[in-house]
Amino acid sequence: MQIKRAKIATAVSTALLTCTTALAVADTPSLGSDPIRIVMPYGAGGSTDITARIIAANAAEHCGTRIDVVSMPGAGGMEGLQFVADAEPNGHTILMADYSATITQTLTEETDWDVEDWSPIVHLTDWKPTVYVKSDHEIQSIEEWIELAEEQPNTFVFGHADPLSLVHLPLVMLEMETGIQNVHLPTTGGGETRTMILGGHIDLGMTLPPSIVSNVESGEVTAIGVFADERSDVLPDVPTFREAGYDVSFEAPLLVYTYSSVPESIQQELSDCIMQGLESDTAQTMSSQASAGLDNVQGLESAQAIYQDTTARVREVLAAINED
Amino acid sequence: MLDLIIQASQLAFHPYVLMYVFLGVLLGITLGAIPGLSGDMAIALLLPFVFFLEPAMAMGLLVGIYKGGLFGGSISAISFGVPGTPGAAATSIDGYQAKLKGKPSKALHTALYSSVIGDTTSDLVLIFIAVPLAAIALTFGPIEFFALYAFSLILIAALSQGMVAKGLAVAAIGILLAMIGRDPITGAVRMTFGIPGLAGGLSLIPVLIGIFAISEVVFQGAKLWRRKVDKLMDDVAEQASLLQGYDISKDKLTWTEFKSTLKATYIGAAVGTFIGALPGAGQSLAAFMSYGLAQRFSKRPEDFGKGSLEGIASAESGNSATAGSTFIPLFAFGIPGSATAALFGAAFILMGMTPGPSLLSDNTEIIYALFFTLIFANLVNLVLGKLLLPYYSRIAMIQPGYLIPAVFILAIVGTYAANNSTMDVWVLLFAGLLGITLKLLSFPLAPLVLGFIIGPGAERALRQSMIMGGGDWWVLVKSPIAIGFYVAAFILILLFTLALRAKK
Amino acid sequence: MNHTLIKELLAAALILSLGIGGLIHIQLGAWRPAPLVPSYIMPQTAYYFLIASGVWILGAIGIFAVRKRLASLAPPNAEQHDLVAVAVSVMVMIIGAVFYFLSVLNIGLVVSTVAFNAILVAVLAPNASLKTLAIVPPLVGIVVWLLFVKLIGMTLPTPLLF
Repeated sequence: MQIKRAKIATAVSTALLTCTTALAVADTPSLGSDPIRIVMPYGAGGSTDITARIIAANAAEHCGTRIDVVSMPGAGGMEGLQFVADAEPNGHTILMADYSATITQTLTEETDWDVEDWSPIVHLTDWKPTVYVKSDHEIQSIEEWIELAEEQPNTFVFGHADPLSLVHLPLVMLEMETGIQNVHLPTTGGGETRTMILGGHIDLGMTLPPSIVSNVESGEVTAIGVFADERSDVLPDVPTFREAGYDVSFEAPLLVYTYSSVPESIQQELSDCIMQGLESDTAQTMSSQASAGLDNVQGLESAQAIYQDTTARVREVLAAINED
Repeated sequence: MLDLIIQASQLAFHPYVLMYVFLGVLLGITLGAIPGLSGDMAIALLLPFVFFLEPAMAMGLLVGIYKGGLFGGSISAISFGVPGTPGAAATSIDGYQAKLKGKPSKALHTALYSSVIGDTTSDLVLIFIAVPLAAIALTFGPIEFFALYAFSLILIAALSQGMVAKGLAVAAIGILLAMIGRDPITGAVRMTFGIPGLAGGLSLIPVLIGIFAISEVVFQGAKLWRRKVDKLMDDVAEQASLLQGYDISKDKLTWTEFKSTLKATYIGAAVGTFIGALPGAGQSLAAFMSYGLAQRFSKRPEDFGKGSLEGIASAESGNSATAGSTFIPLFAFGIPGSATAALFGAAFILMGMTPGPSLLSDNTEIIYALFFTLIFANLVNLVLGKLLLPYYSRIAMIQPGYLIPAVFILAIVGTYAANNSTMDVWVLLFAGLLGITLKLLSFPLAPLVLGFIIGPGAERALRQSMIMGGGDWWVLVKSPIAIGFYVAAFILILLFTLALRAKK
Repeated sequence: MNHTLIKELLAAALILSLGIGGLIHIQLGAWRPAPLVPSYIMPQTAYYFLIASGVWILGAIGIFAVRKRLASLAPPNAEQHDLVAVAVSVMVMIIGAVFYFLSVLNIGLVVSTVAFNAILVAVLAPNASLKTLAIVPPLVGIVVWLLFVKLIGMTLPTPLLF
């Protein structure tokens, strides 16, 4: 009798839990041994996640094995980096991240690795930090901002995500370049910044173009300037700070990395097969649907060059901040 | 608007979604009926799967579990006098007495009907008030949010019956746990005890599961071990003998009896909806408050505590009426008003929807579909409950000796799988130990979890306000909305204190 | 000295020491300077609340002691706990879970799950027999494997065994 009851108990829970999930999750293919894991040190569902899934869906056939996307947002992303650093150096565990995880945090916090321990293999896209305001705010252009901020220093509240993140460093650089001063307000991220701008609680904010396109189109907010060499594809009417005469540009490269202990031949192989996958038509269609900007993916050499360049610039900014 | 309703109903009434609602209610009633387990825990365990489901299906499943669990708790409360969930504690007072008098079926049916009525009332309030609230929500900046958080924290602690000091203390502990990790303003790592894995702070899921579920499971384990050692006779045998000579045909709820409970049900629905909308007040409080009020307004208050159907109706309706309104603060401000709302908030994020002011405008269709699902799940609850009432009281007595170990293992592996984080598992076990310690010292646990949830928001809002106000503390009362919250908190505490005095 | 009194005194001691320890940590710790408000403002407030609650509880004990009504100190619905059983349960379940999870990471999910479940059932289930021990743990192992490995593809280090 007791055995029977226990059996029923287990059977009921098994059946229920299995039913609830079987339908939805049956699509994970199993192609063979040793899948490649792309570790992403952010939460699931963000724009990095989507990009990683585009890679997984398209590069698998070229890399000859299945590719899994693993989200490890723990410890501010550090847990993801640690996982990749600790993995067997066979190129089956790779990292995808912007520079705040691999460069800024490595330089400002105590970590088990140095900046040089990350070998970038693919340069996916460049994110262009964009400054925006509410459309009925007195500031409606770069010039008005600089002018008003010079007249009344420390009155305009500027919302950015985490301190020293890729939507904060450009502001620091612009202030060093122009000498203006704003009130820096850290927020939880693009969503909170946007709510505060829309509610008129703060004056300016910085974010990445795809997240405000719909608000710009509906006329709720005005994007006033982009910290990039060229204008953003999704916001073609918004000038860069260069165009306005301020030599500040800090695009954030999104890179795929292996840990440096992975043999160079494997790095090259991975780089090639991911590139091939992303150049396919399906990958390009998916990218444009998701505004992922994967239309100019660069390989190993370009990735390493931009990584070194970004590292140098982050070091420079951090050094300047520490002097203050 | 009509288009929207058609699209949303197509989403909500898709056959798969309906199936998930059925499955969810079934699972919820079952788990809720098992003492110690609750719908919340099932939702927490299923969170990792949400990411792999279509949003409408995931919502159907979670809503089903939630509603089923709310009612399910009353099954064991009535059948064995053991509340299956904390919210069913008030139900057990009269429910168990009614069962002892040979009226289990009447009691269970009263509980089912009042639960469904209370729940539906609350859902309607959510549907028609969440929308205008969302429009007001944009006027909430850091200053207003800090006032709101302060208001909720004060209220949470003040509502811990008879344990205000302990309530405040655990709320403070919850806030401190939430402070571990990165400082939101400077980015500095703090209070990590030098453990690098804590730099990102403690995640909600392990803290939630640890504090509530692990501590409970370990206490259940302790009871099992004691029974094993003492070789106690199986309770089932005793219970069966109690029901000998029981004739179910004489134990049907009549229409007159049902009508006599309606006033109590409505009182419960109103009180439950109101308390549910207050962040942190919770189901047990709603149930006890409506029980007390219903007694005061009843024509036969002397029957309360002796198996009164009115008593069951008011408690169960008050408990279930928190179901819809607990989402109001979540939808309007992104504030989880209860542990359940926190779990749903996490589910929204996993599905790529941010709880808060923009939730409705960014995801109109799916949220309207969720509204339909909320109402539909009540019907499912009614039908399934009616069909299964006779069987469920038996299932609730599944040998816990086999169930508890399996549940414990699922909690551990599930927590790891949620974030692929080893640290989360250690946090889970630590939170379990903390929960056990606090329970042993009779601290209430709910304020801790709410402090943990509200802590980071309150800190950020406070420091953001100070930065925006240039360091002047008066900035905190420079908004009429903020002043409103502070005044409301004061008045509510005064009212509750007076009510408590009057009771004594 | 009754149980409730000891419990309340322990509770007060616990939160007072947490609060005071925390304030000392604020004095001595290296807190990164923040604009306008100190970065420890929130923890500091929490510590003040802890100390205030601790004093409040002690005060309540004092008042009840003077009025000789210590018995009514117990909060409503307070449970009496079986300390020995809880200690055993913590040992078996929490300490067991540490070893279980370490072995999941180093040996393998299914093997560890079956073993840990068998131990828990053997220690806790009042009616465990060899028969149920042969059936239940493998079933739980299969469920866990199906759910977490087959269906959601949980990331684990390469296992030594299965």
